[in-house]
Amino acid sequence: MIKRKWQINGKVHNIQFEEESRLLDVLRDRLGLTGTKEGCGEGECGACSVIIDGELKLGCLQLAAVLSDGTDILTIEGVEKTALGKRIQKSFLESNAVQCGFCTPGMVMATYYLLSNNKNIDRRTIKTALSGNLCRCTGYRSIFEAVELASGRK
Amino acid sequence: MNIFTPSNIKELFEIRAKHSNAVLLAGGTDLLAQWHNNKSHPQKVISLSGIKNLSFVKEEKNYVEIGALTTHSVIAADRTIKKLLPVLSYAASTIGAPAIRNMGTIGGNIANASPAADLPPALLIYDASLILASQSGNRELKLSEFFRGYKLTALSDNEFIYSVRIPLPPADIYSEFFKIGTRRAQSIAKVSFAGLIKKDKKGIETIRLAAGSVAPVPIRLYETERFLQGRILTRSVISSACDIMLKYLKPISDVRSTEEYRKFALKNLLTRFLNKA
Amino acid sequence: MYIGKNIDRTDGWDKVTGKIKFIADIQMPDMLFGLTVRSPVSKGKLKEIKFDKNFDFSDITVVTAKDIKGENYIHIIKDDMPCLASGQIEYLGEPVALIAAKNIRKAYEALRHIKVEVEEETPLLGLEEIVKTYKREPHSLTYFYQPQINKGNIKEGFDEASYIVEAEFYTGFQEHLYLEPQGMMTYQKNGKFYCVGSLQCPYYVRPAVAKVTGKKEDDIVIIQAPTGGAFGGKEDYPSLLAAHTALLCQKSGKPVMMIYDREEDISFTTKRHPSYVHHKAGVMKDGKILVLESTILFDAGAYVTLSPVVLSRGTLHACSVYSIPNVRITAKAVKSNIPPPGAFRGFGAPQTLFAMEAFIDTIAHRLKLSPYEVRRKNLLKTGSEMATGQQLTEGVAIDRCLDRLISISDFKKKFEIYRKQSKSRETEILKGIGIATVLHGGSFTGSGELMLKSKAAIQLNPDGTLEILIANTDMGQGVQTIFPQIAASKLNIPIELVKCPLPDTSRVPNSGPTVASRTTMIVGRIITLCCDELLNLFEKHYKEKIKIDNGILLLTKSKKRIPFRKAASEIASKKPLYIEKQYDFPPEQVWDEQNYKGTAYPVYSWGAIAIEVEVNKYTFEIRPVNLYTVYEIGRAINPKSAIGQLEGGSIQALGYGLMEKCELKNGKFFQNRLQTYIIPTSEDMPEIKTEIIEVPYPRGPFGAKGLGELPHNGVAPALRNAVLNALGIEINEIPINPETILKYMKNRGLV
Repeated sequence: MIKRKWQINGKVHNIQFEEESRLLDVLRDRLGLTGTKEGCGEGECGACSVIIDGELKLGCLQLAAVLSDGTDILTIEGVEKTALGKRIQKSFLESNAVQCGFCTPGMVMATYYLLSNNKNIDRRTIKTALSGNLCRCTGYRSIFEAVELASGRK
Repeated sequence: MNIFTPSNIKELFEIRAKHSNAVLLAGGTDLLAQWHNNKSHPQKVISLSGIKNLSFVKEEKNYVEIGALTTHSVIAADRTIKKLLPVLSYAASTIGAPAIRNMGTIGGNIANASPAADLPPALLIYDASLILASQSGNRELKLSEFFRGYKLTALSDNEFIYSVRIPLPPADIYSEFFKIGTRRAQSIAKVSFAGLIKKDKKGIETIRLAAGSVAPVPIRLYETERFLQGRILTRSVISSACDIMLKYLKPISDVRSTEEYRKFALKNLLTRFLNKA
Repeated sequence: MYIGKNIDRTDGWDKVTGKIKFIADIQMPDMLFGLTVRSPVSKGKLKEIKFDKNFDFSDITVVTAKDIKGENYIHIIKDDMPCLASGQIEYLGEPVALIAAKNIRKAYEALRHIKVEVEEETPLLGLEEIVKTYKREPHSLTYFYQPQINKGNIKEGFDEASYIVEAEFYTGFQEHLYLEPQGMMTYQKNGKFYCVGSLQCPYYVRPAVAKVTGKKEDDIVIIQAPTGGAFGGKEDYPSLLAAHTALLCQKSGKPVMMIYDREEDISFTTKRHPSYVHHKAGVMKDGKILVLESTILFDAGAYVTLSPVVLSRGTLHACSVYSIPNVRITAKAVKSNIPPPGAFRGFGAPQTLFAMEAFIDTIAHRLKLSPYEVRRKNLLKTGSEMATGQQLTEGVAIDRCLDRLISISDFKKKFEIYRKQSKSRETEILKGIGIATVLHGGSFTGSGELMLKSKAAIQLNPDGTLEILIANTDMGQGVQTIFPQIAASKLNIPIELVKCPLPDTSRVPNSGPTVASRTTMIVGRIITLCCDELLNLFEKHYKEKIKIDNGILLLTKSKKRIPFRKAASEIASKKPLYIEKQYDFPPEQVWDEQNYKGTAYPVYSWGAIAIEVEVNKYTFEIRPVNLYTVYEIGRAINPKSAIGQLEGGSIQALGYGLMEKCELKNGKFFQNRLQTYIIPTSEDMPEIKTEIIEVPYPRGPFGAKGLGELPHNGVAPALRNAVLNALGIEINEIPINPETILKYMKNRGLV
C-alpha cells in the first residue's frame, strides 16, 4: 500500500491505496469523488479530466503513486466552490451544453483550465481546449457557447 | 506491482542496478493505456517524474537541448523552440489533446518507439541526438540510430534518456511537418511527414526527410535524400524521388489505414513539400 | 404557458456539478463485480468450459447455462437468443458463463484462468460475403424477415422511362459510443430482484429477467439509473446484462454489478446494421422518377433480436421523401455470425435514406440535372400517395424545409461554382456542397402502438406537487424537463410543482419503450389526457366548471379562486390521487403487415440538410466546413432542447458518414477501442446552423411530433453528395474517409 498526503479540493487528505491504482481509482473508490468518470480507460474521452498542480490531466493515465505528498488536486466536486467554476456550471446549464451528463464533469474541468489560464479566447481556442473531451450528445456547438458565455465574451 | 519513485538520478541508477527488469515510466500516456487494455501491468515500475531537473529547454551555441521529461505542452509553447525549431513545436502541438500534452513527455514519446509517434519525424529532420545516461557515464546517439525495429530501441537496461540534443538547422531553410491523423484532434497519425530543405542556385544544398506510420519505426528517408541532393527540382526529379521513397518503404494496412493509402499520401506529401520548397 | 420556452434541464445542475450518480458511481455492501466468459470463435459447438485447477475459484461465483432456473433465452421479439450459450455458438464473444468476485481485479484474474473450448464451424461473416452469396445462391442464406413493398406496375414504369439509372450502396457498422458504457446492478430484497442500471426500456428488461430467473414479473423491479447516453444502444442490450447480473445475484445471494469495459462494450454490444441497397430507377428526361426497384439487405447477425423491426422501418423509409408511382422493394434481414446488431437512432432509416438520397444525386449527376431540381420534381406533397399507399392528407412540409435550406445555404450558386472548380484550378483544396431531404415516421411502425397499449399516469400529492409516472427514460434527451413543461402547460400550473422522476417499474405504468421518436408525441399525449382527467375530477369535486389560471382554480359559477396547492390538498387529502390513461390509438390508422399497405406511421417529421466540405487534393482528407439544417418537427416544446437533439443527431450522423469505420476481421471488430473507433471531436466540428419549422400535429401534445431520430437521417448522404460535387465521383459507401476516396479514384483510373 502507498500512503500519500494530498490537498484535494482545498482539503488535506491522508490516503492509502494500492501501488497499481490510478488517480481515477483513488478518487472514485477511496474518496467517493465519483464526479470524475471513466469512459475509456485509455486517455481518449476526457471524462476523467482533473487539474493536478494547476494542469489539466487525465485521472485514468495518472498512476497515483507517482504523485508526491503535497500534490494539489482539483476535481469537479471542488470546482463548484470557486467563482469561476460556478459561472461555468451555470453557463453550461443555460446554454443547454448538457444532455446525458457523462462527459460534462470533464468538459467543465477542461473549460475551467482554459478560462483560468486565458483571458482572450475565441472559437478556435475553445475547440482546441476541448478537443480531448468527447461528447456524443450535443454536437459541441452548445458547449462552445457555454464556454463563451462563461468567459464573459457573450 | 512495485513502484519506485527516485527523486534524483543517483537514486535512479541505484534502483536500476538492483531491478534491471523494471519498466521506466515518464508521463504515462502510453503505458497506462497499454496496462489498461491488457488488464495487466508490469511487476516493477520506476517513475521518473519525481526526478528534478529532467524538464528543461536550453539554448546553447550550436544546439537546443530538451530534457527528457519536458512535456509536449511545454515544447509546443516554448519560444526558443518555436523560433529555432518550428517543425518540432508544431509536431508537439498535434499530439493528442491538451491534457495528454500536459502529461506526455518527449522522452516517453521517443522511448515508447511507436512508429506513429509524432515527435520523431520532426526530430529526425533536425538530425537530433539523444543523451543516454547510465552509471558509467553519458553517451550521445543519433535518434536515427536509436530505433531498431518495431517497438525496439538501442536503450540498454542500465540507461535512460536524459535529454534530446538538436543541432540548430542551417539558415534560410524551408521546413514542415504534415500529419494525416484519424481526425483533427485526439488523433494518431495514419501518415506523418517532415521535411527540411535548403536550395541554392545549383540545386538542393541540404535536404532531410522523415516519415512516421509507414515503417516499423519512425524513419529518415536517406535514399530519397541522396537522390535529391544537388539536383534542381523538376517534375521528373520529384516523380523519381517519390518512386525511390516508395521503393524503400513497406507500409502496412492496420486498424487506422491501408497500405495503399499510406503510399499514396506519402508520395503526395513529398510532392507537395518539394513543390512548395 | 411553458411551451416553446427554453426551460433549463431539471437534472442539469446535478450533472454540471458531477453529483448525479450513474450506475458505476453506486456501491452496495458486499457487492460483487461480474464479468462475462465468452466464446473465442464465431461459430461451433461448445465443448467445454475449463476452469484452471490451479486457480482457487472458491470465492468466485460461477454461473453457466446449467444454473439457469428459468428459461435460457433473452425475451425480445423471438425468443431465440440464449442468455448463456450451452450448445451451439453463433458469434464470437457470445456469453457462455458468468463470474463474479469481490473486486474487479480479482474477477479479471479468475477470467484469465477459464478456457472455452469450441469445435469450430465455418461462420458467415461480413456484408460483402452476404451480398456475394445473395447474388449467387440466395436460397442458401437464412432470413429473419423479408418484407416487400409493391406499388403500381414496375414493368410499365421501366417501359415508359427515358433512362434507367442503377447503383449499389453500402453502409457500415456504427457504434453508439454513448459516453457511459453499459452497466447494471441487481440486488435482492424481500424475495424480489431489483435491477438498477443504464437503460432505455424498463419494461423490456422486466420480462427478460423474469423468464431467466424463473420468477414472476411482479417479483422483478427495474429502476433506471441516470443514463449516460443510449441512442438505441441501451434498448435491447440491457435485458441481457440485467439477466446476467440477476443470475449472478441469484446464485451468490449478493448484489452484483457489471460495468462493461469500453473494449468489451464496443466488441460485443449492438451496432447499427450494415446495409446493402441496390436501386434501379426509370427516370424521365426532366428527372421525374417513374419507377424504383430496390433490393435491401441488412446483416442481422446471429439472432433475431430487433432486426425485423429495424428492417421494417428501413424498408418504409427507402423511398425517402419522393412520390414514385411504381415501386417494388424487396428487403431481407440476413442471419450471420456476428454479435446481433440492434437499435440505433433512426432504426434502419439512416441506411436506406443514405442510399436513396445518394441515388437522387446520382440521377442528377448522370442526367446532368441539378440535385435540387430532381428533388423538387419528385417531392411528396399534401395529397401524395406513398409507396405503401398511405395518403398524406396534411402537414407535408418537406418543400418548405428544402426551399428554406436552399436559401440559407446559398446552395444553387455554390453548387455551380464548386462543380466547375473541380476540374480547372490548381489548388490544394477542392470545395463541395451537397444536400439531402429526409423524413422520419413518428412512433412505432404500423400497428405497434395499438399493440403496446401504453399507459401513463400522473399522481397528485397532498402537498400539491404533481408527479409524472411514465416508463420512459431520460438518457440525455430531456424527458424529465419536457414532460413537466407539457403537464404544467396543460394544467396551467407553475412548473415547479411538476416532477418527472426516473422510472421504477414498481411505481410507473408501462408507457412503452423510449424509442422510435415516440416519447413526446405518444406518451406526452397520454399525459395531456391524464391532465384533462384531473381537471374533470376537480370539477366533480367542486361540482362546477373550472378553469385553471396560473396555478389558481377559477370556479366559473361561484367565482371562487382556489390555489392549486390547496385544491390538491383537498382532493388528495388522504392519499395521493393517481390518474392513469391509455393511449387512444386513432382508429383510422390501419396497417396491413402482410402486404405492407396502409398507414405505416401516423405522421412524419421532415428535414433538409446541406453540408459544405473541403477536400484536400493531396491527402483526400475531408473537412466539413458548414452544416445547414432545417427540420420540421410539429412544435418544439423546449426549443433549446430540441436544437440540442437536432444538432447532436446531426453530428453523430456526420461521424457515421465521415469517419466511424468499424471493420470486421475474422469475426471481431477491428476498431474496438476509443483510440481506434473514431468519433468527431470539437476540432472536427463544422459551423452549424439549425432552423426549426413548426407545423403543429393535431394529435401531438401542443402539436409536437418526434424529432430525436430525424437528424440522423440526412447528414451522411448530404456529405456524400458534397464529395460528388467537389470531386465529380460517385462514392457509394460510408464512411467516406480518405481511404475510401482513394479506392474510388483508383477504380476510375483517376490516381
